Amino acid sequence: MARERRAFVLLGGVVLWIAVLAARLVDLQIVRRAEFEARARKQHERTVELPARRGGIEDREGRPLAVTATVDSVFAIPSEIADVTATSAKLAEILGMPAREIERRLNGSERDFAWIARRVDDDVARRLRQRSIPGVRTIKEFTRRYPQGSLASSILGYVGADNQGLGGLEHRVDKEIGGRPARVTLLRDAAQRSYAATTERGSRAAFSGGVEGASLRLTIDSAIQHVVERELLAAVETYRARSASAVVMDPETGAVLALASAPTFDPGRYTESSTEARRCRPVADVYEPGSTFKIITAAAGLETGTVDAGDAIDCGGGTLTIGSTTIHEHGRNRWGVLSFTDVLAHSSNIGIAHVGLGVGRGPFYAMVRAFGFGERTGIEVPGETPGLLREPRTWSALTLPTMSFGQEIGVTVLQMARAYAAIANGGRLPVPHLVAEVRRPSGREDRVPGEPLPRVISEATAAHLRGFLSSVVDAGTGKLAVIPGYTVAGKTGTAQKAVPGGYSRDRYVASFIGFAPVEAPRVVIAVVVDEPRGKIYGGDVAAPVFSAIGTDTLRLLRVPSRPDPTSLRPSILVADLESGAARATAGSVLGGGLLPASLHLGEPAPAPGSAGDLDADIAALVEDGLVVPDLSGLPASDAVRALSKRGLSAGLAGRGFVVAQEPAAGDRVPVGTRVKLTLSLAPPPQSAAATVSTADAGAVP
Amino acid sequence: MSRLAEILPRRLDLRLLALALVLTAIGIAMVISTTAGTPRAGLGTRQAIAAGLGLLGAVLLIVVDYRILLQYSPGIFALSLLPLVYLPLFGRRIAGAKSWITVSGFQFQPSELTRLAVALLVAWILENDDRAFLRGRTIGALAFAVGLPMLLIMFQPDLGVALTYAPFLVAALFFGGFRARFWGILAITGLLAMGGSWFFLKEYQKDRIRTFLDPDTASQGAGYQVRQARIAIGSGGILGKGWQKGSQSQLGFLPVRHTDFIFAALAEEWGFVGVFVILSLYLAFVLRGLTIARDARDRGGTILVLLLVTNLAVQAMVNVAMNLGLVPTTGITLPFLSYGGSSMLATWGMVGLILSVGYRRFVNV
Repeated sequence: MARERRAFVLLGGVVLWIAVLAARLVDLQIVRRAEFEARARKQHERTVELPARRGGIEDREGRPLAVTATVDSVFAIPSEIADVTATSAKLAEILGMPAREIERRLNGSERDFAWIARRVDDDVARRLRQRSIPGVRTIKEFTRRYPQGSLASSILGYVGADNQGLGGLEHRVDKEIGGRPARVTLLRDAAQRSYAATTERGSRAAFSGGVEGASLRLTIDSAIQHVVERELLAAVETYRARSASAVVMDPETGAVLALASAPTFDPGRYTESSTEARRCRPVADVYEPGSTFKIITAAAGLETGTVDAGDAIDCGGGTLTIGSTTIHEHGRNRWGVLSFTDVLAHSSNIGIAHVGLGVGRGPFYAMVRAFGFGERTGIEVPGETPGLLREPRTWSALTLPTMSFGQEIGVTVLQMARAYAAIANGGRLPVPHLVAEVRRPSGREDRVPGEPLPRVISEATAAHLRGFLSSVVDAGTGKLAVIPGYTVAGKTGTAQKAVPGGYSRDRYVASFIGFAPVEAPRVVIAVVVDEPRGKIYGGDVAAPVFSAIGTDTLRLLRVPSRPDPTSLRPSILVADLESGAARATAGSVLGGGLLPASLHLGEPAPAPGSAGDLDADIAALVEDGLVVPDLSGLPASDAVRALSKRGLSAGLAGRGFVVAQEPAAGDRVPVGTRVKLTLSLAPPPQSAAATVSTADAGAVP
Repeated sequence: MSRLAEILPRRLDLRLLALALVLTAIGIAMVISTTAGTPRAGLGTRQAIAAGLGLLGAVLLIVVDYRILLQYSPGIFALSLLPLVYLPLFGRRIAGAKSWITVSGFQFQPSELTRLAVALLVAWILENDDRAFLRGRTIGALAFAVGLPMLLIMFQPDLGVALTYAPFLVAALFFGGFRARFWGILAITGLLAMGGSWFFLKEYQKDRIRTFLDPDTASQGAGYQVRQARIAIGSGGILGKGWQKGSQSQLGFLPVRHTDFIFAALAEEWGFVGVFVILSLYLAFVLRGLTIARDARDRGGTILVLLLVTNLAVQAMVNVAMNLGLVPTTGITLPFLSYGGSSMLATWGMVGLILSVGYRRFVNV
């Protein structure tokens, strides 16, 4: 029957059509399912990151160096703003931003979120909330703060706008202290509204927990760091040097107590500083160590048995000719034969070159390597350089003798400090480090393990070398390195800077590296001043800085001083009096170890009540205590220096210039009194600040 | 009455009724799912009420002898045209079309119910011409019976509903008997009409066709629906995301998900398995319908059932194909599933007519 046939045609058509649909469904739902799932997720999922709190950094005593604070940031929801122009104008007034810029941000592509200003001041945020502009809100954001200003900035580094570590430790340990942001997956509907996981439509929303950043405790002592930075800055200013670097290290453990360079920068405003100022010079800069390196040569000589500690060494009458080149002593010195001790005490180039030549290339190179030169120390600060140490096969005939006194080798201040630490501790090379402890949010604490240190030289050799270094300070080029109340050993260095085609005649690196007390060294201090002007010798430029740092450091470490009057050589320098420079020894008058090495009474001007009469001052000092100087108008750094040179300490409030002091100028106070200084960034107009370089105003508290 | 209770289950095609009820229930569930938590929440209830009314209507149509309805079909047809004439002239425009009549708060879409009248009239015309091949006069009458309401509905304009009339004509010609060469002429005419109609289509309709022909270049506007439907269906996978858990439909990415694209929502939430079940139900419905058509006691009943089954099948198949991006987007809804009170009434009216024919398959009633 035709109609039945036709019905079958209809049925066949339906079946065929369903087959086509089913094929399509298989394609979409089974074959290409992943593709469409991904497309669906891209549409309806939105992942929001909740930043983790960045862990703090504190010094060895728990004093904060870097902390995380919360501040307000301003954002807008452009779709809620009816009148963009009016809103922009209002915001511009409150935020002090150009209205055009705000308008640009409001008209951006995102309709549900736009940053207007990140991390605004608290009062700005408050004013904004009071005005309550529709569509404009504030949100709490984390921000990095450095409570001690620029202190240790070259170690700490700095963080960017999204709390990512960009320099220094902040960068190196970013993953650990940065934590892991929490990720919240929200659902988003077609109208771009987001739903949290708790809403009934958000059954597929997910939360993956973040981890708060670990916090660090450093080996750095911020008080010592402060002293070091203060002294380096003073040296740079005094000698108009390009820069200065210093390391203070515990020779037993390699723990770095201070690591500093000048000039420095404020990590809270790192964008305003140059990359030059941000560099951590003691680990990133390579220099030729000069005479400070002679102790390594001496170590090689003793350790290989080439020379004996008691040997006399031929210093060739001031010259040593190798091939067509003649090596001279520094200055106009022409020594004949010197004891090994004197070769180092007087820093004879020829003498030590003979020792080096006696050791020979291979053993000498091996010893240099053993002391850790030519490789990174592994300190946690990024940007460390291994220095420059060529393989012996590439050396010229001149390399060995000149390397013996510290040329043709590039080192870092930290490497030098480590080498001296090995001599100080009896011959074991420590591992420099400045992270003492990592505290994780889980409560777990990681402490730096005390690894057994590799021995570089024998105890006996180390003892001989300490003896040599003591004589440098006692009777040689390093006399100004003395630290009253303590025995000091060390070596001066005055290196001509290598320039293309040879060595510069007017650019030097002045350095002093030493340790104290000699009997049981507690600190190694390395001071390097780059391109000092006026004075150039390590013994004149770097040794006093060493002394100043050492004096405060040993006091801060509560290292007991020896009340042995013969080891005390305090002196009072009275400068800038009408009579000119005068010097008086006052060791017998002043108690041992109580006062710094020198008192500059004439600076900046004789304090009221002190006649500038030396005898009267000393007498008054003993009977009635010290006279507090007038510090008003001085930049903080100058005021602190003036106080510390008088045996007083400073308590600072604020930044900038001194506007008030307590006790008042002219008051008599006991030695060691803390003078409270109130600082302000605006100097009083009649102050003496005009005569002082303002470059450091506010930079050093 | 007791006799009715006795013979009703025996004579009534319970299987077709059950299929229609299951599809309707799934439809209500999907309407609830796609509207929950939106301003449209509550449409599921309205859909259920409409289905209840539809069931009542169906019972009414079972009780009344379809032969009487066929007999009076010209009159019924004429009556049903009245609102279609009224609407383009005096109707209120709702959502861009004058398709709705509001009677004491209830909105009603006459163009849906007119389908019943057209089916009856077409069956009546064919019953009166039982030659092997249709006469020209009959063909003209058929074209008039289907074309006039279609034309009036296009004036509203409501292309989607108008297109649901087309299967009546094709099915009538097919089942009535139509010479092969006439099919050729019809095909050519149809193609020409389609080409010619391009110039009368609205811009959004042209966009839809462009989108269909080249979906990737179609950007935001036109391609959006098709693209979203494909994402929803594809991401549903084999087992689906679960009732009320389809992200694309629940979060509003899938447009008109309770009406035209309810199939995509279903495919997302119930997956390939769910879709397979739905398509099987439709196929079973068609099979059952064809059995009833075969067993009908007269030519009129057979033709009527074939017309109605074809109409529902084509409508469902075209809607699903549209959801899958296989044909251009038109406003054709999915019978039983898509939300729409008038559509639900009309669909159940058609079920009622089919059951009525089946109920009277024994001549001795």
